Amino acid sequence: MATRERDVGPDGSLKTFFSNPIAVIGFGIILLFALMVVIHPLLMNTLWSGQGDIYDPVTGYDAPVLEVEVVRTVSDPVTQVDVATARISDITAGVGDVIEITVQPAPPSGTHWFGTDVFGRDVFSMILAGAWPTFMVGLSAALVSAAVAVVFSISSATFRGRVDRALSRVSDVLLLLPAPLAMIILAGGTTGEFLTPLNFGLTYGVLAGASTAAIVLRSHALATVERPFIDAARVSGAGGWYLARRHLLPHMIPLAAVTMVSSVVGAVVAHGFASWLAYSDDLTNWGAIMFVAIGFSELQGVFAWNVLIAGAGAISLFCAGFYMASLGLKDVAYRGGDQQRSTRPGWVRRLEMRT
Amino acid sequence: MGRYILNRVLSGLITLFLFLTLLFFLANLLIPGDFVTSLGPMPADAAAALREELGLNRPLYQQYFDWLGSLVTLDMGESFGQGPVWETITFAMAPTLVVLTIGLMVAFVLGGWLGRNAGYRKSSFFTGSMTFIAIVCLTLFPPALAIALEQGILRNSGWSALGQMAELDIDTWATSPLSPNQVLWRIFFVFVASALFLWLTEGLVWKFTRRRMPGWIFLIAMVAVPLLIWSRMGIADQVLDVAAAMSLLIVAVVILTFGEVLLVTKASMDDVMLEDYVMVARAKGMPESQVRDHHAARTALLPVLSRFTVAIPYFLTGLVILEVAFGGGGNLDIAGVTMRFHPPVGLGSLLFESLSNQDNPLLVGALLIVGVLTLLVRIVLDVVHAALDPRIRFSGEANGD
Repeated sequence: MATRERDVGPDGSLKTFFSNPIAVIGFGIILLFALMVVIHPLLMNTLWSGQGDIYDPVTGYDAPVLEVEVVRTVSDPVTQVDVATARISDITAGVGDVIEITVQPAPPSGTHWFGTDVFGRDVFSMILAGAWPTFMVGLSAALVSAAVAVVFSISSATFRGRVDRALSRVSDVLLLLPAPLAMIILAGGTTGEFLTPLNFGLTYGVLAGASTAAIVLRSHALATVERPFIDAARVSGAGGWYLARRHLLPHMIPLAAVTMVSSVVGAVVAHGFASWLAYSDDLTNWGAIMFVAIGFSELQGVFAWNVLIAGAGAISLFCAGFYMASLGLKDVAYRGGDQQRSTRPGWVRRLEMRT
Repeated sequence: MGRYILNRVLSGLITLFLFLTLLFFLANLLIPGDFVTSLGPMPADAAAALREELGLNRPLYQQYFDWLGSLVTLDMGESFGQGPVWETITFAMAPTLVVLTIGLMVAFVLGGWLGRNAGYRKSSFFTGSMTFIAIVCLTLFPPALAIALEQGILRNSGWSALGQMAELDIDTWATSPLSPNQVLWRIFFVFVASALFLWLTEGLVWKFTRRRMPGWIFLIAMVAVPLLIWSRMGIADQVLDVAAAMSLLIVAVVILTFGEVLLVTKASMDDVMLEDYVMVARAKGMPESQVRDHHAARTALLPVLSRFTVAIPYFLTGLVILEVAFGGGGNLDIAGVTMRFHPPVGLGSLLFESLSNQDNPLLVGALLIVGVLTLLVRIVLDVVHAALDPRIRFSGEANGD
C-alpha cells in the first residue's frame, strides 16, 4: 500500500495535470486574472494616478468630445446630429449650429482600451477592478463546498448505516433547491446587504457542497472504502477516525479538487446574474457593470455593446479557465490513479467514474 | 425492476416532504419582511388588518400545517396578486416544460453524437475544435447569450416573432379552439409520449429481430410522429406558431447545455475504448462503426446519465436565468433597434416576479415546482439508468446517484 500512497502524491499529480494542454491553458487564464487583481491597484497608483482620476472604476469620467452639426435629417451620423438628440447636450441648439457633444459610451480607443460605459467610465479599469470580488466569490465557494462535501462523504463512508442514510437524504433534499437559483433568490430577498462577495461565496459553498458535490464524492468514498487496503488497515487495528484521516482523505482530495473547481463556475455565474439584476450593493463587479450599461442605455438611447461584451467575456473567460483546469484535475483524479490500479476490472473503474 | 421503481418513488416522496418543510421555513424566516411590508409604508392598523385578512398573523407552525394540508389537494393557496397559485403556476409551467424537454433532448442527442465521435477519434482536429466549442458554449454568460441572440436575430433576419409569446400570429389564433397555453401542454405530452413510444418500439425491434434501429430513423421518427399526431389533432398551425415563438429560447438552452454532454460523453468514451470487450469486438473483425456505436457508445452513455441526474437542477436554473434575460417588460427602443420584452410567461419569469413582489405563496409554489420537476426527472433518469445497467438494479440500493 505504501507505493500507492506515494503514487498519488503531488509529484505524479502535477505531471499528469500539466501533460493536459487544456488544463495548462486553463491554468494560464486563471493566472491572467490573478495578475489583473495585482495590477489594478498598481496602475491606479502609478500610470493612472495623475490624469484627473479618469481611470477610477467608480467615479472616473472621461468622454471624447465631438464637434457636430445640427441638422433636420441626419445623412452622415459621424458629423451630423438631429435636433432632438442635440438638445440633450445643449438645450439651446437649433438647426445649423455646430455644437460639442460628448460620446458615451465611447468605443475602444488608445486611452480606453475597452471604451467607456454610459457614465464615461473606463471599462478596462472596471474589468480589472472586478477581478478581485469575483475571486472572492469563486474561491470562498470552492473551499467551503469542498470542505463540506469531504466531511459529508467521509462520514458516510466511515459510519455507513444511519449516518449515511441521513446525510444522503440531506443531499437529495438540497439538490432540489439548486444552489445558483437559491443564491439568486436569497440575493433578491435580502437586497444585497447581507451578500457581500465573501458571504455569497460561503453560502453558495455550503449549499453546493452539501448537495451536488457531496453526492459525487459520496459514491467515490463508498467505492474507496470497499478496496482491500482499507480492510488491511482495519485488520491491523485502525479505528474509524484514523482510517478516515489517513486512508480515505488522501483518496478524496483529487476528486474534491475537481468539484471545488466546478463550484467556482456555478458561484461566479450566479453572482454575476444576481448583480446583473441589481441584487448586489457592489459597484465594481462584472455583473453590476453590465446592469448599469443596459439599464441606463434606455435613457441614453445607445446600447453599450463594449460593456456587455467586456463584462460577459470576463465572466465567461474566468469560468472557462477554472473549467479547463478542472479537466486536468479530473485526469489526476481518475486516469492518473488508474495507471496504478490497472489490475482492477474495468467495471469497478467505471463505477468510480460515475460522477 | 418493479421493486426498484417502487423503492425509488417511495424514497422520492420522503425527500419531497423534507424539501417542502425546508422550503416553507426558508421562505418565511430567511427573507426579511412579508408581502405587507413590500407594499411600502402604511398605518399600523391597516397593516395589521391586511395581515389578518391574508392569514399572516397566525403562528408560523400553524401556517405550515395548513399549507401542507392544502397541498395534498393541489391547493397552494391564493397568490397575493395573481389569483390561485396552482393555476398561475400550471399556466407558467407549460412553456418551461416544452422548452426544457425539447431543449434537453436536442442537447443530449447533439452533444452525445458529437462527443461519441470526438472521443472515438483520438487527438484529431475534430476532437480539439469540438472540445473548444463545448467549453466556450458551456461557460457563456446566459443573459449575454440571450441578448446577443435576440439582437443578432432580430437585426439580421426581420423575423420578429422569436422568443416571445406576445408575438403570436393573431390570424392563427382567432379561429383556434385552444389557447396557446393548452397547445403548449399538448405539445409537451405528445412529444413525451412519442419519445416513449419510439423507445419501446426500439426495444421490441431488438427483441424480435436482434437488430438495432439506425439512429437516423429514430431522429426522423422523433420529428415525424409528433407532427403527424398534431396535424391529426388539427392544431398543426398553432403548434408551429408557438414553436416559432419558443424557438430562440430552445436554441439558447441547447447552446448552454450540449457542451456539458459532449465533454462527459467524450471523457467516458475515452475510457470505454480501452476496455477488453472493445478490443475483442475489433479482433472479431466487426466494422469500426459498429464497435463505436454498439459496443463502446452504449456503455459510455451510463456516466452521462449519472452526470445528468446531478446536473438537471443546474440546467433548470440556466433556463430560469434565460427566461428572465429574454423577459422584462414593455418595449425598449435602443438606437433604432426595438428590443421586445414579453410579459412573464415561463416559470423563471414568474419566480422573479414573485420575488420582487414578495409574493411568498407564489414564490414558494414556483420553487416547489422546480423541486418537483427536478425530482421527477431524477427518478426517471434513475429508472432508465437501472434499465440499462443491471448492476444498479441488483445492488438493492434505492438511492441511485
